[in-house]
Amino acid sequence: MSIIRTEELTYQYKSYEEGQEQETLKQALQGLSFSVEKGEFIAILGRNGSGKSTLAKHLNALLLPSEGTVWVEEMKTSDEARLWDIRSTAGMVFQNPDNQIVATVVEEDVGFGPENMGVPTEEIWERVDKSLKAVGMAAYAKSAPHRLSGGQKQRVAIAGVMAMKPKCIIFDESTAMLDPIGRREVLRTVRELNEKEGITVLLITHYMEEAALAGRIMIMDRGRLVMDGTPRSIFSRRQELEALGLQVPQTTALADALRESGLPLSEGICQEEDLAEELAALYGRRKEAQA
Amino acid sequence: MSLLLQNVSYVYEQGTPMENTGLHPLSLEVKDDEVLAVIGATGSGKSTLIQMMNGLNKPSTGNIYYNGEDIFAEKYDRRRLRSQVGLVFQYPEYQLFEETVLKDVCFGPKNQGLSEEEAIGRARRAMRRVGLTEDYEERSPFDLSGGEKRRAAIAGVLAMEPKILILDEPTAGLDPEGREELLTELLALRRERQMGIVMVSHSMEDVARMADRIAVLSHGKLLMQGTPREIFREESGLLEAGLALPAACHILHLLKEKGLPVGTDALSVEEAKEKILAAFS
Repeated sequence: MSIIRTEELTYQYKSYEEGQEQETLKQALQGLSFSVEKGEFIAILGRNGSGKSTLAKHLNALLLPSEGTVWVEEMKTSDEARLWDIRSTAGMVFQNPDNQIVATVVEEDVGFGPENMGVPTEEIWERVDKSLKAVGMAAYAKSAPHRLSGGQKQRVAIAGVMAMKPKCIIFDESTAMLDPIGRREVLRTVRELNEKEGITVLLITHYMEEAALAGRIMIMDRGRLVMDGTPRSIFSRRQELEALGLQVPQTTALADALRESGLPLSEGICQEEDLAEELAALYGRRKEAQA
Repeated sequence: MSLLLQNVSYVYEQGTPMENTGLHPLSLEVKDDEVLAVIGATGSGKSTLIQMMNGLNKPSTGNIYYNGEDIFAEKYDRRRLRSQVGLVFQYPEYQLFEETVLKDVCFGPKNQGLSEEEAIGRARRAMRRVGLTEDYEERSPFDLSGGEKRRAAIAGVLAMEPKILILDEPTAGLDPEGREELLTELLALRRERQMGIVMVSHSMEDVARMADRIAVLSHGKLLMQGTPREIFREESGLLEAGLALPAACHILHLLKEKGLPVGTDALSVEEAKEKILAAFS
């Protein structure tokens, strides 16, 4: 069953430019139709201004379509009466951790969402405990958020979304401001939520190595959905990607260079471990043949 | 000609109960024709350090010399220093504010006391330098794409024609194309103007490609400094500092662990390829 579905989703806005009498109509999203199945882990790629964030904001009713429809489970995002159900089903984590933390103690911050939803106090604490455990931050429940590292703050923000028991979480460049370890922490958390808790994940990113971890990649360009497939199938189409302002991960670039030099490696390898394993196996076979 | 930091340290809220050491005493030189990358985990003191370099933060101990002069000496003209050691903050596009891109880029040189005409001349040169053509001049900075805004903001600092350009995470949030363009332009700038570049970055791949020298900060201490080759040889030190190896280099380490006779000393995809092919030949 699909958890998110869009049909001919179009979003346009008016823009007033200097020296022009009339406003112009800008098309941010143009006729997007796709569906996301429960439990999927999808990465969304595309250059700056391609419509990724605008799309994300449609998936929990922060924006409403100019034309077309978005469904979250069976709810239409335009149905105002269901707004809070929609937002607790599809949660969102943004780029800057400092803009998402409201309380002065970690556990209170995580409890903020469910409290606003009118969840009984007893249950709020249960949810806070469980969410902090899920992101590996239980030891920091009584800490002050401003004392935490960027990766830790971002995990607190994720716990805050978790506490609302979402079925789907949209990460809008949530690792862009983090250092390498912070990125790794957040990505591990994202993968665990997906694998262990069955939460559907949509990850918007500019890091190709992060997209390589997803089960499916969707690529946007000028407000349209232009590619949709597995990381392997996407990253084996290097020229098309480059035309869209994207790249293949360094791992894929290395595998491609080795294949061109005559090593029989498979196409679209995009994870470091996978490449190392194929190379080790190939090396073992060559040594055996020589012996 | 260089910027020299000698035994500088930085203590936050000194003399209060909140006193907190941001940087332990360290010494570092920035030559004005090299690219120095400063890397370290969030909170390791990178921003504190680079904000000392142009006199925004006064060190709690130690001295900073630009071309041999102490920049915190009583009569030193720090305003002039800031046009020679230009600092581009993180996400500088949030600081664009004028009606047109040209006016925004003119702001720095005008503040330096240049005439309107001179300021415009410099602004135009700086814009071209970062790939913003004439038709961008009259546009509103708020109508530009993320990558274009970032370049407009950098042009604003370049227009002051600094001898050393300091950038705090210049490629954060840019798409791969924007990142590539910006890095290529920075390298060209350095070549043509013999300009020193100090760059804070979380991308080990960018650092491996750009830097002549790397300084690694960890918990407010200068953990090590050296060429990229020297630094990326120290895997355990990097991991300890909350960092990582560039992907190409990491794959070689994985292969070595699996028993392949490969050298792990590679900074780029091309070098990694050569190392792997050598093991197979």
